[in-house]
Amino acid sequence: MDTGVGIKGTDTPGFAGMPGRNSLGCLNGLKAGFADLAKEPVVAITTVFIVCGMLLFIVYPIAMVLIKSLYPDGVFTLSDYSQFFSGGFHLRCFFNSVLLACIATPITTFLAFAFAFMARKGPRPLRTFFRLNAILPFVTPPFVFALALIILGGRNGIISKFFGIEMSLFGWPGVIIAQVLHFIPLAFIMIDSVMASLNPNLDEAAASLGGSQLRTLGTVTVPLCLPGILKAGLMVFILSLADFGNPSLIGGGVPFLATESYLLVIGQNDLGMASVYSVMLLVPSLVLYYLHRYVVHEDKFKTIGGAPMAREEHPVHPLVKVPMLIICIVTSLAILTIFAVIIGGAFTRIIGINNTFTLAHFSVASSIFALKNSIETSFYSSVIGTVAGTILAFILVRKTVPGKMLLEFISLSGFAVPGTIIGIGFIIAFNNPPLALVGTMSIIVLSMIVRTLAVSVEAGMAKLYQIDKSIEEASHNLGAGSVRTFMKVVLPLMFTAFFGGMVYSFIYSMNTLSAVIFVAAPRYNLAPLAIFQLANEGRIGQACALSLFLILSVFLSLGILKAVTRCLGFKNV
Amino acid sequence: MAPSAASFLVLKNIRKSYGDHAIIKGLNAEIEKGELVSFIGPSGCGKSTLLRSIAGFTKLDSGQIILDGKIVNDDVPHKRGTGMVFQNYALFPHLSVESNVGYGLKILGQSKAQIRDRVEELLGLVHLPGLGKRRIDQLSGGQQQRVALARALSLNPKILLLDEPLSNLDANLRVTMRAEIKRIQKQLGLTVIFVTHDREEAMSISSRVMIMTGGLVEQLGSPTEIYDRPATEFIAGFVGHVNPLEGNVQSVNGTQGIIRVSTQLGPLEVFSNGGDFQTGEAVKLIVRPEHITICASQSPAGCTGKAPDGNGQLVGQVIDAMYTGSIVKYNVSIGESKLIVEQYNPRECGVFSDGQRISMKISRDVHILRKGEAA
Repeated sequence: MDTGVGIKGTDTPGFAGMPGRNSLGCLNGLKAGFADLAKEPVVAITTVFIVCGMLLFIVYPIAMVLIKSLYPDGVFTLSDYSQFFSGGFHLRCFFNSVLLACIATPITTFLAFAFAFMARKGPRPLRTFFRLNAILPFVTPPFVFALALIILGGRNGIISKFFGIEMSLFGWPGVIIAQVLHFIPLAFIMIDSVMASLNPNLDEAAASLGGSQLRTLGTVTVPLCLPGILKAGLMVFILSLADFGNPSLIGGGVPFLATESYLLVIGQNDLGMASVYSVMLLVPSLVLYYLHRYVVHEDKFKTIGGAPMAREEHPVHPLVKVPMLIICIVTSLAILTIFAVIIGGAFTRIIGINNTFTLAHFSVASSIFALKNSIETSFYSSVIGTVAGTILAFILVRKTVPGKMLLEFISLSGFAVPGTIIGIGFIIAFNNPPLALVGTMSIIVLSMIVRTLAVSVEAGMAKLYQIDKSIEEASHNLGAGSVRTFMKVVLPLMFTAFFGGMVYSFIYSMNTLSAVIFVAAPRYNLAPLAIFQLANEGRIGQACALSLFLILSVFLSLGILKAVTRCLGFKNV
Repeated sequence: MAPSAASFLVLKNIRKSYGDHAIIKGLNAEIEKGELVSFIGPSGCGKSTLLRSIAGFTKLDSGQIILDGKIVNDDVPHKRGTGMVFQNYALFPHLSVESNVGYGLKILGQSKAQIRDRVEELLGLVHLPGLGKRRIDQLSGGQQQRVALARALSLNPKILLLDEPLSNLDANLRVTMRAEIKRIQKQLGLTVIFVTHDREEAMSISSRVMIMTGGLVEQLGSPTEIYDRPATEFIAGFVGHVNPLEGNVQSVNGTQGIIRVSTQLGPLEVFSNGGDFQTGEAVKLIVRPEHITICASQSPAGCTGKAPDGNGQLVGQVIDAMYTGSIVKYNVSIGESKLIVEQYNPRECGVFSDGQRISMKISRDVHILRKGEAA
């Protein structure tokens, strides 16, 4: 398996320095921006087109959520807010969500650090194993972990049956385990990339000054990885806060913001209160994302150049190695068990109860239909989103456009805005003519683009900062205009970022649940949604089978895309 | 400083391979206390690996490293009494200057006051007094280099190891910093090993230079020995320009210590320098550009203008001249042969122009290599 492609594109985003962020004289900037745009009509038109799209499909729905929270029935009132803050159930949701994030984040980050450390310095034969395990959860829909945990540790689960003990993972333990396992890849990628940039001579310098390995780990390695750890932690916190699938499947009735806002919309049609919930989710997410992106700087501790010389690895002290090894092995086994349970569940009548082999779960027409829809919508959204994102990145990095910082902030908000908010916003915004999109395929595609645009913008910007501007200037010097330069010079150079962004977007869209659950109609059912429904209805076998299909199709599409790039000879761009 | 039985650092039959690739192949060398020895050689010759194995970062396949009478092969780095400056300095970027310098002292468990005093002393030594509170990224390259030096000296090492410490600095700073290293070495009476690929750097600061090729010592000697009496033609070419002249010994004058060698430029008389040469033996003359003096523009003053008759006088034609102020560097053709000639203090005879015919004289003090050594 190789998820490398998908990951490559996403491990650089957020790490690049961001020149141009310094606040230039606002008015002058605007003036210059418009003047420059006027000289390049194609760039201007493209910019206007993309900006309109962003305003319409990102800003407008989110603004509608805000407005709905203040004008639930068309009249301004703070009653929903005062009700929210008056304590009781609503506040409990909020505190539960925050508490969950507070528990899941440190555990995930610690595990990801252990994986990153062991994937570099652990026993050689286990390194690839750890690396793969740390990335593997990325290929599944998040709530597949909850599904597997229900099979394992539900009231009638395999563990209860096998060991004859009364136990249930429903509620806090289940949600925490499911979240932790699912968020490991993201944290791993971020911490690993920082660790990769550490100068190995630093360890040696510490050793030559008498630092034991434990001490070096504590005084050198961890402090230097801290920006990466912090970034990873903030991102995991945001994801945990916004997570919808796991708490609703294995939450066992514990109320969380994301799940309850869904119930408010679907069960009670209370869009006003649902909007208040959304705002309560949105505000901490945005604040944390802002911290993540603009305050914590991973390259803070960049050391000066010169080839670090460490051909030889130094054995890790047992006091460091053994505990980390145990942690990584146990976690890896947990992840593999989850996958094994899904596979087992897919091929048996009722796993744990009737373990007869069967293929019946695979031949469910509605599942196949949902899978087909998922592939179709994910394909469209990843292509459109990546093209738009790449162009946007180019404009943001290379062109003087008015309101650049705001544009960047909006385009990257997909990382920060919880899916439920996009979902609720889309329902409010696009339920009536002229844009009555709810129930169509386009709204699904659009919601996916909104959520993944940030990835291609980030990847594209990071790549562009690496490509020396003089290459483009050379092209201009030889008589090419902006468009030709972009097509003939920039795009080929950006191909890896473009491709990485596309693969990531595709996988993400295949697995996403929280936004589409609001906007998808039965005739456009999607695979993650179908799995979610099947799991809720207790049709575990079919849910497992479809999960397996989904995982396989993700691998397959990765393989196809990889083959395509290899054919195109873009591998080493 | 001849190697003695009890040298300060003894490297005995050292071997190190990475997989099938042998980096160091049974190397022997001895270094005395208070010396500054440069390891120099083409990349891949094993100089950095050797330094890292002395520091304890690379484990040897076989051989012994004996430092101050003690075999240190299996000691951990900080138990060896070595201080190391890395090529990229490896300063801890998240710590202040004083925390970097005091890192090892803190581990030793010294009191805050002790650490503060020692750090200040070390910063004074490297001419950075009062900069203890600075962050590493607030320092220039040269300052970072000084901090790295102070940190490496913090634990009073028996031997200071420098791994291409100046390669990240610009040319002027390099010259300043090498003088600084020399000053500190003298001031503290330190034993220093200095890895570099810059031959001028090596020659200018070392008490002895160790030239390595293919994982072995090619020659270990003082800079003048290395330059004037190179053991091989490779070394001769490695440390400076050379005009190699092949020839055969025509006659040996034992009493005067002069031998006469027939070369493609005609017969030349040179000092044998105690070498025991036989008539008819094949030799190679290592003629440095400064061994050739330009007498005048084909003027008869001291120059006959004829083919040399053993007194080293030649007539040639300037192909091109490069004037650099204190030196003029000429490419000169003599028949089929080409020579590089350097004339110091060009003001005296002026600069000859391309195509001009000149008379030259080759010094008798050129180095002679036997044919086997020249390989």
